[in-house]
Amino acid sequence: MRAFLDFLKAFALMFLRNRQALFWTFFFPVLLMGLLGIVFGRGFGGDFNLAVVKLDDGMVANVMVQAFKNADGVNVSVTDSEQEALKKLEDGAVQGVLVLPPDLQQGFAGQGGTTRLPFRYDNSDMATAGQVVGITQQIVESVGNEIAKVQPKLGILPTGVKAASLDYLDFLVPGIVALSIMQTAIFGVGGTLVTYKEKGVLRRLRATPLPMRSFMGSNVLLRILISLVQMVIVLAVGILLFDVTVNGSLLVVSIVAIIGSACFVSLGFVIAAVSKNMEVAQALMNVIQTPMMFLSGIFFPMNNAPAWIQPIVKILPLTYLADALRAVLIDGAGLWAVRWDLAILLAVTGVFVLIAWRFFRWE
Amino acid sequence: MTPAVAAPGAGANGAVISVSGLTKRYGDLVAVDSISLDVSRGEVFGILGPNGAGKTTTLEMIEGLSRPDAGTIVVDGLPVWPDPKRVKARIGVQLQATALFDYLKLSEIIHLFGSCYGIRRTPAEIDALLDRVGLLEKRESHADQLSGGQAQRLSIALALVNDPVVTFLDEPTTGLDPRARRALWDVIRAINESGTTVVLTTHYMEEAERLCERVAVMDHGHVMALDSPRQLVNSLGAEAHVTFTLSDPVPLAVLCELRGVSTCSAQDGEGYTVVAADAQEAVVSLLEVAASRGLRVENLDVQGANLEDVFLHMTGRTLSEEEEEDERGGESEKPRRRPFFLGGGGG
Repeated sequence: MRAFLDFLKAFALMFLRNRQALFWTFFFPVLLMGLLGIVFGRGFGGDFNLAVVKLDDGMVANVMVQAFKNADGVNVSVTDSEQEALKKLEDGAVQGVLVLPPDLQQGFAGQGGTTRLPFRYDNSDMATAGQVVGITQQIVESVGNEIAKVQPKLGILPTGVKAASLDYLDFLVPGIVALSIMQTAIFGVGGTLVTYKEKGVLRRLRATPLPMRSFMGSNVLLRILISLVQMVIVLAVGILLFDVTVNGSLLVVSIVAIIGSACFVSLGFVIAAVSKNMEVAQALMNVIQTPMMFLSGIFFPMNNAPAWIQPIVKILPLTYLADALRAVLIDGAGLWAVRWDLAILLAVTGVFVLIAWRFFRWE
Repeated sequence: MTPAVAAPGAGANGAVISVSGLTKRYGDLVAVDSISLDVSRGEVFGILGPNGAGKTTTLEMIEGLSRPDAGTIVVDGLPVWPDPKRVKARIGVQLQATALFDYLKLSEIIHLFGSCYGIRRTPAEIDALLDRVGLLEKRESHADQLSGGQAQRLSIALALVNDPVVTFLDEPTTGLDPRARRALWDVIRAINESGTTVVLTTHYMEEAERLCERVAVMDHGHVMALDSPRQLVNSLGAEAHVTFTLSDPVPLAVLCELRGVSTCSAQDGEGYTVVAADAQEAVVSLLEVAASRGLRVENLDVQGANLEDVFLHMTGRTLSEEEEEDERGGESEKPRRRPFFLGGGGG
């Protein structure tokens, strides 16, 4: 136990004194999140153009147009031709078309449920789409509330993408956390083990009575701890700087993160087991990490990806970690809701451990 | 940090290591072929041989790093195999080319290795150990900032961290420049004088001759000979080569008649070489003849037989001809060894 703690401390010291490792571990995920957030995220995209097709001249329609004209971040053009507006949408001149139908006033006066206004938007760029839908929804709802003084009697009926709540950073942050967990585990365990094997450090340690589980265990524990710190940093920056909404409990999120970390730590062991030297290990890490980075729904959802790619998406363990983290972090789901993701991650961990066990050589 | 060891130079029965019938095969290659040897408590024992002779493999089996295919090893009264853990706790090991943890200070590395043995070294003990290998002023440096010689000394310090009964040094001076090598010899002698038995491998003749009380000469997995360096050389009955130049040429016949000279030859230019069993007698005789003829003897050089000749005699090859791969196939960066001149030469 003493040796375990001494090695944990030594590994931590080595990590903290390695500026490069610190940069990639703590600064890079935040940088990546910031850059993607600035390029695609809410509040950074500038104004968008909205065409309002005004087919009704009642009070509601007029108030609505005025509200849009007063709103920040929206340039409104009013027309009475839906065709013309849709053409502008196709041409990219506007990013959304909101229709105020001829029966708007009547429908609103009636005591029915919420009136849904047809809304079409450009979904070629998901981030912008999220912004367009979000702001339009907000304005329409507030006008509805204003007029009815009751809970929303007006809403929009979005057609385009599945998800109604589309904030890119909300989507991105769990992905960045998942990606960081993967990289910390694979580099931290696979990379260091291969280096130590290559340099003869493992041989030297085996010449002492130290049980190797103390050495391995302390390294694994450190990587898991680093992953948790990474996650807290990414979430903190996301919440404070980018206004990301986190609904999940920190405990549940941590459990998911630890399971994910264990999975990729075991993958790191597999890499260390089958790599003769650092060049091989490096190549293997790239081959393994690159597809996961882009096909596991880290930066963009894979729902809309071509069907032939779906089987690949489904066999990548990072897909399940990203899914689980997204559900837990953003939707506030509990462990039971993500049980299948976790079960798959644990099963994959088991397989990796067996492979590493079978092939690992000390030198 | 006084090593927990019996008085050095214990009797003939005081074998601290007993190896018998030790064999290791890698596929068809027999790396170590049924060797037997004893190491006495308190001595510096050398295993001499070219790369690929099986030195490192032998050491690894004794150290509990590599399981023998046959044979027994007893270290300090304990069988190494099948469970080498207890023996590992009593020995110190310095491996070939161990790079250590980057980003850790020397004092931290020593502390860490202490805890590998379940020992907690105090800062004072750590300083004392660093001082023993001459690295005290480097205690705050990182391992990757050390020179080759310093890294080897750190490696030796780590081989002493548990106050071992025996410490194993695998080619401790390979790749070092002559000055660093000599400095390391002093460190190794001091370790031995403090009571620790030292087993080292080397392919440097001079190292074996100057450090080791006994030497096992290994080649192709066999122990070809085992004795003190002097006995090994004497057993050859080898003759010394005396080379010199004279201020004026003399007929070769004059030189052939010098006392004790068996053969004589003239080299290109003005040099001569005579071979004699007793170098001293031949040199005295030479000086007498030269004085009587009014000649000056210049560039006098006496080359005695050394372990190189022993190796040559036993294997038909010289150690320094060997440029084959290391037995574990690894390092190619070893500097080429220069042939060794003058047994025990230098300061």
